[in-house]
Amino acid sequence: MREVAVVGVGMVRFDQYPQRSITDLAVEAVLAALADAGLAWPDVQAAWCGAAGQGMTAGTRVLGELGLTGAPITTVDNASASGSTAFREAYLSVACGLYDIALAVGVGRMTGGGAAAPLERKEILRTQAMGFLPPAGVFAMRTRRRMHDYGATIVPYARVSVKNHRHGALNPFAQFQKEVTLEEVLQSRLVCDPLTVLHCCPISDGAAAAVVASLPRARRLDARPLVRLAASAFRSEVYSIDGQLGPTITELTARQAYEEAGAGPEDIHLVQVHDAFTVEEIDYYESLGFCPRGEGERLVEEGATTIGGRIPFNTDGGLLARGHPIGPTGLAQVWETVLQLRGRAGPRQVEGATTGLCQMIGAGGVCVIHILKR
Amino acid sequence: MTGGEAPTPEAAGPGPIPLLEGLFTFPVAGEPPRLLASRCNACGGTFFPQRRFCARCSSPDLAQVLLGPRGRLYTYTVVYELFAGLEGFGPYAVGQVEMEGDLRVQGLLTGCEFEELEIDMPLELTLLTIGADERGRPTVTYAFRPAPPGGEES
Repeated sequence: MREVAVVGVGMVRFDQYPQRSITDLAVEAVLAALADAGLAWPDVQAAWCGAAGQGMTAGTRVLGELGLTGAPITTVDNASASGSTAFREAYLSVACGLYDIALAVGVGRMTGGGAAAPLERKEILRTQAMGFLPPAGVFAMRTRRRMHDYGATIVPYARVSVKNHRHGALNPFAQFQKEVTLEEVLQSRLVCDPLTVLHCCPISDGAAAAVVASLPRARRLDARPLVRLAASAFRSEVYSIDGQLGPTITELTARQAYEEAGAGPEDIHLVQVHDAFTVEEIDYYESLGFCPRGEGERLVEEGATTIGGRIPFNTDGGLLARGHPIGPTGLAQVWETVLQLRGRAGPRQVEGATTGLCQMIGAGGVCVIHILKR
Repeated sequence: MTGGEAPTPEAAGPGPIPLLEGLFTFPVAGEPPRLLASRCNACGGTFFPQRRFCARCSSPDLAQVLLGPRGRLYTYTVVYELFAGLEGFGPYAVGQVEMEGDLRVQGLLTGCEFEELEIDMPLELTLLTIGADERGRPTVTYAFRPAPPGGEES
């Protein structure tokens, strides 16, 4: 396997854009990533497009707008992990020596019910028969159980939301750029007890992209400190009583990522995770090895995971504040990590950061973890 | 659904029909409903809903087993923000229930106030009408309700 660097990143601010097409959104993100890399679309030898529930062949539809160059384009749907999976495929294609320059883009328009892909009738009935549980309900139940197991109140989970909104307020590409107070989180609308709406990520539209290149090619392109991939780990669900959205899948994928990078949690300076619901971030503190099981609540209470703390999590606001258009979210994590490792993250810069980790899970049962290193 | 152990609604007489076949038995002669699960003859894993291949070892050698009627509440939520089309349904409680065979079954919770729900409380299976089909027959699904204390988890 050859070494691979990220030479360009770009994104469209995540927000609600009911009037913009997915092509319009994706093209803006790709052009930004290409400009960041000093490349043009015809330089891209292969591309992967992460798009969850955006219709057949979303990748060729949106990227064809930039010109029909003949480069192979693959559409990836892995729910929330679509963009991360696209990024991994682009990385692998260069690491294996097939191409020197590859692109990953993610796009999602979730306003107007974009994610509600038609289920088979039997799946709908099964969902109904087993209790009509929305995604927030799954994580409300996880929260309730953690509170029971570790004697916690709802406050530490609410603090994850306060922290990530504070980070989002420093990010001009975040959907929400406004701080929220603990009181506001606790008193916002109840969605699934004990989770209020500020414990849940919003509905978002947007796009994000990254260009990867072989190391020799990257050195010619990029005078900035090179951001290399130190690990790309990917697991589908392994049977566990916790189910596909439980913490086990992240633990197993992290083990693989750390081994590949020859690193451990002690070597990581910042982390982006799938905080669609606040309890997840606390679960992942533990699954990723930043504290023992049962001590995640204390980590956020101590401020360890805020910018300036021991191990900042979701420095761009996370899914809770930066937004979550599903398909591009994993690539927004890459965007943030690359800016941080280049030392260009402005007011949310993590001082001295040289190694960052990005984790995404996707419904259906996948987890993708990348470790990036300057 | 295979015959014998799992009476069909036709066998139980006219009236309510299951929302989906293959999830649970209809009670006969005052018997409580049971869940239809799969047990792997190769590794012993138990799964609900039923599977064609074992989730743990991929064996196709699975047998249908009946679960319940008792379990213990592992965790729960009350859903306030309802899916589109369910607005008339009102807030409802859903739980994960620990049952024999080392598994957690998700289902609706009924038969008590939301405030009475408590982790580890003993529960038993029941049936709950949640709608009607196009011919006006009530559609039912399994649900859990508080069980009198002292019974064995089965």
